[in-house]
Amino acid sequence: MIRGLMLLTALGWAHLGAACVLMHPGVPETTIDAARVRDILLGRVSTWSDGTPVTVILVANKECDAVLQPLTGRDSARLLRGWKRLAFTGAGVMPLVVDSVREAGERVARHPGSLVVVDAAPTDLRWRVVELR
Amino acid sequence: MWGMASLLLMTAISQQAVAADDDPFSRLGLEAHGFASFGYIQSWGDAWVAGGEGGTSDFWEAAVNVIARPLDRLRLGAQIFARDVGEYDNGKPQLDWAYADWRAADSLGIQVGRVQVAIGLCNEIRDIDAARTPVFLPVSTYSVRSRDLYVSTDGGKLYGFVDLAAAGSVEYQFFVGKKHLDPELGFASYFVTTGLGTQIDRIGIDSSAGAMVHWNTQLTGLALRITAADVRGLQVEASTPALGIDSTLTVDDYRLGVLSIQYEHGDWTFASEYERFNGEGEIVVEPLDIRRRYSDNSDDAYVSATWHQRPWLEWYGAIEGGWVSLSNRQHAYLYSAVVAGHLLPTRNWSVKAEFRDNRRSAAVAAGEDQRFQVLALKTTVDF
Repeated sequence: MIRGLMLLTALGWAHLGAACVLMHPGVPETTIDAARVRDILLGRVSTWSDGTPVTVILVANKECDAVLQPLTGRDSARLLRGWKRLAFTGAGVMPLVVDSVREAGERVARHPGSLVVVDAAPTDLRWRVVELR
Repeated sequence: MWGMASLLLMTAISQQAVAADDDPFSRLGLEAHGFASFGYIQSWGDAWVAGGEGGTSDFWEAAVNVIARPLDRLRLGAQIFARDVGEYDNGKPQLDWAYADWRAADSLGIQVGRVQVAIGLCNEIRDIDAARTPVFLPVSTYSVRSRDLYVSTDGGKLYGFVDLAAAGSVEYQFFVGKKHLDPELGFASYFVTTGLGTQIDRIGIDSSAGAMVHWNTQLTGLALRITAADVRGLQVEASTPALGIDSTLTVDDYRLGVLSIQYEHGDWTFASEYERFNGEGEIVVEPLDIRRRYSDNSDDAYVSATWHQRPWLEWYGAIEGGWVSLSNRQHAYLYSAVVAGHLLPTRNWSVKAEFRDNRRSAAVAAGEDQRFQVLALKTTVDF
């Protein structure tokens, strides 16, 4: 495990061949499965186990859409429209939309409770990386 | 109920005032959103919502909302909404929703205040252009005129999400409340068109209650939903001053049930709903002391398909049907074939076009053409 983390840090980017989740390090869940991520992205779940609100971050590019599609059945544009439904009915707050994974990482580091699904994860101590299998 | 919401708000703000040692606005987690839509409706063979055969640009809606998250599990929010849809509402602003929401867990949330309610798949997105492909929701099931009756209730709701592991998941909602309807808005305006009076003096309901259960099945993309609602004690007081006549309509129960199915697969979304609507009451006309029975019953259904061709382009087709009674479908019916296109030049700007070809029985046409068409164009920006 430690060797793996050292390897990832050394590489700078973790091309894990599957969807990765970047989570704010303060998120109480240390692991997360694909079903839970799907429910969060679809707006069915809006808080972490300690009550911290989930802040969803979407990366609007083809690479990230390619990992969102099998996970949720939707690309980032359709997910965003689904979230507009939640925002305009008072059921949720809008995701943050960014254009690159690097920018998403910066947002994750700044927003407690945040989460983003990406195709390749830059490693950094300011966020936690979980691979979805 | 409003007192409870105010108390929650005051408690939250006072706690934050003690805790906040930096920017108080960021500590409150304030977020604001809004949208504005403008459109044009052209009809051939019928006035429909336009208020007259031909075209109208009296077709716009706008909303702005503010949401605050002063505590982890607490959310406060309010939205002001206005619309002008042909003969309905004429741009009068209304408090769409205003609530305090406590999310105790995924499985249980409680919301009090003026809360939006889930009826069928689409009641909550009646006004949210960005969340759907067509300009209009299926009009028999989601009547344009009845928006103010069904969109929210002054009371509370319990809601939640339960993970059923291999069996999928369930979302639920139970709501109860009451509502003072505005005599100048859509639902009241409808009673003027029925001849109850030339003006509506008062309209209200004693209570409304309902339940929705939504099952995300184990088959990925397939969801089933059932909704039941009961609006009790509708009373409409109307008058015709020119004739010195007052009319009062009372309906003890408006009952509504909706069965819904939705399937998402790849770039396609398929949906179908069946709704049964039933209201029986009495109209009393004074000073003539005329009493007559009032019936407002319908069965409605639609089947729709949406093709998400590109992130910026969607297509929609639907067949809609509405009947006074399913057991006598030949007597009074309205069928509509609908095609629509939805272009999204940017994340926050959409352009839509919709064409509806409608066919109705002579009993429904009431002397007008049995076949009529509607073209609607609409553009929306949001933030």
